[in-house]
Amino acid sequence: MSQSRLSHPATLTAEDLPAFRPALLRYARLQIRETAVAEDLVQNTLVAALQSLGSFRGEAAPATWLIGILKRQIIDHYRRMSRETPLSAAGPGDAAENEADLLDRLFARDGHWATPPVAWTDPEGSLRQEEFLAVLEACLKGLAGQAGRVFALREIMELEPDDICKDLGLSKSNYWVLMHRARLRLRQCVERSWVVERS
Amino acid sequence: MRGAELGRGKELSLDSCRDISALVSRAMDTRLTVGERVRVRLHLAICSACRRFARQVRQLRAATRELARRAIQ
Repeated sequence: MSQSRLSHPATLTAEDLPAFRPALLRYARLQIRETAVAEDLVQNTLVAALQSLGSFRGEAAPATWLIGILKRQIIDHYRRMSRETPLSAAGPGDAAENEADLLDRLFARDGHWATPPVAWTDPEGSLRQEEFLAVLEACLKGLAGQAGRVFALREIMELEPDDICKDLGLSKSNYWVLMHRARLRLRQCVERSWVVERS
Repeated sequence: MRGAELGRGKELSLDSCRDISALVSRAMDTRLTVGERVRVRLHLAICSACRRFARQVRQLRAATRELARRAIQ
């Protein structure tokens, strides 16, 4: 966290809030595909923050406090989404969507990789690292459905698996299947776009 | 999970890349049983593709968290 005024103001006032919008939106866009939805969630976050400014004690940096509110908004949004798209209604990335298909495409009949993962060139050096992150960000946006939501909750918001299961009403085994599916898809997407080193 | 996912190809099923990759993925979020850990270790010792998979899922986690960290800076 930089030492800017935004990160550590002594107090937080209503006038300070708009300055946080870009960061909140960047964060929301990492895990919400539809721009309009992401903007709504950020807007709700700022409104909620405005209403509870009095409870901001400055124990956390304002950005951290605001991200906490945004996370709650995203979780509630995900919860609504998973209620609206039950597992039986298949969408790309959903549990019911061709679980067998994805695995059958990635693995041969004998259980070996159909196309074995290849070594990735290490994204060392800052320029390469930037490129790698850009590839990953694009791939994250393509991670749809319940698998994408579970992945975001775990890897972007860093929630615990138990809490994710509770929030989305998933069984543990559902959770493992969805996370594995998300990782397989993401890995494949990154590999396709990233410069690879055949070894 | 075993029975359900294996289905066909029983001959290699227990230590197939398909099963081991699922365990590798699960190990990112929970502690595997001793038996599972042994199976993973034995398999990774002889399978470079799954070793890469294991490395890459760790890389994906680190990079995803880095993206999240940067977004809010």
